Amino acid sequence: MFRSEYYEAMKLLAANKRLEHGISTNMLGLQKIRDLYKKEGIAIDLWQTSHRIRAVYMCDGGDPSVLVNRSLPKEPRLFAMVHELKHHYCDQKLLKNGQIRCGDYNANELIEKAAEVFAAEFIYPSQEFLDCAESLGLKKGEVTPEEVVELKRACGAPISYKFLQKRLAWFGFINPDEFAKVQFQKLEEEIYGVPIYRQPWFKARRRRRG
Amino acid sequence: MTDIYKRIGQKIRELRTGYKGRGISQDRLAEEMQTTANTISRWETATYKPSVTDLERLARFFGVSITVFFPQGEPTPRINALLSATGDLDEDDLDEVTRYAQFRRARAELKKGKRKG
Repeated sequence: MFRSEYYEAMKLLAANKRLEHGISTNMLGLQKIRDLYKKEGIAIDLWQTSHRIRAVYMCDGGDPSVLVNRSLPKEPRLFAMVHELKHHYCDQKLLKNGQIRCGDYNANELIEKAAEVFAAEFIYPSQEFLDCAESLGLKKGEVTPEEVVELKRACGAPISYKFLQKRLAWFGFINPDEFAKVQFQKLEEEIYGVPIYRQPWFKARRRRRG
Repeated sequence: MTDIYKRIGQKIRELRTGYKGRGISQDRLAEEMQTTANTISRWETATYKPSVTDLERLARFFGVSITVFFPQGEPTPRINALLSATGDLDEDDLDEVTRYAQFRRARAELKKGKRKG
């Protein structure tokens, strides 16, 4: 199978799994993924690891489980967990046969990239992204950082700015490193204000309540 | 109480009394584990069953592998895992993945032990 065919198959699988589990973009969150893991019989183990490891999938002994780096913020954690779902759906046989070895990242490159494709499509389907970009009037090569913020808020998907930039670059709206120096979270706060949960009075109240 | 927990209890006691050549009191270990001396004592006598997470924390504290609490003593098999990583992993990262593989095996052993008990 060619690489592009493999990736297309992953997109199709993502669409089918969304359908099977009744997933819609704006209702997708960590709780939904935890429920899905439970249905699939996969244990989740939050683990303290270095920033280099996001998640690990193991399934020997017919006992699938995923290590999740406990320091990951919400969106990257969700992405990593969906990434590992692809391994659960597609790569168990390879793992059981010992054809994949831990840490051999280069040798697993295709499998890993396919998992990224699966996760991206599962969390925020390309077509939904294109529809949203069109509704906001985004034009290829003319996207501003403020429009990226607008797009993130409008799309309703649980994604990070990094994810969104990759998507925009993939569809040719921006160059891959065009906004490398933009601090999107800061920009969003400048436009829309600091979210309530990050305001000092809210933090103080939370501390008081323990 | 099943044999597996008796063995675990004995091992905890052995590690505690041999800690750094001088041993460590149940009170001190309890502090490190953020639990009570009573719990440590009951783990050692197999009155209470430590969870796999408790064993992992104990193993980290004593600087041993979680597998020491279990009888099989086989070398850790080659680890087959798929990782979502930001790039190449260093020795410490691979050690951590090994630790996780051992944690999984310990959990499976405890499950087996519970079924037998």
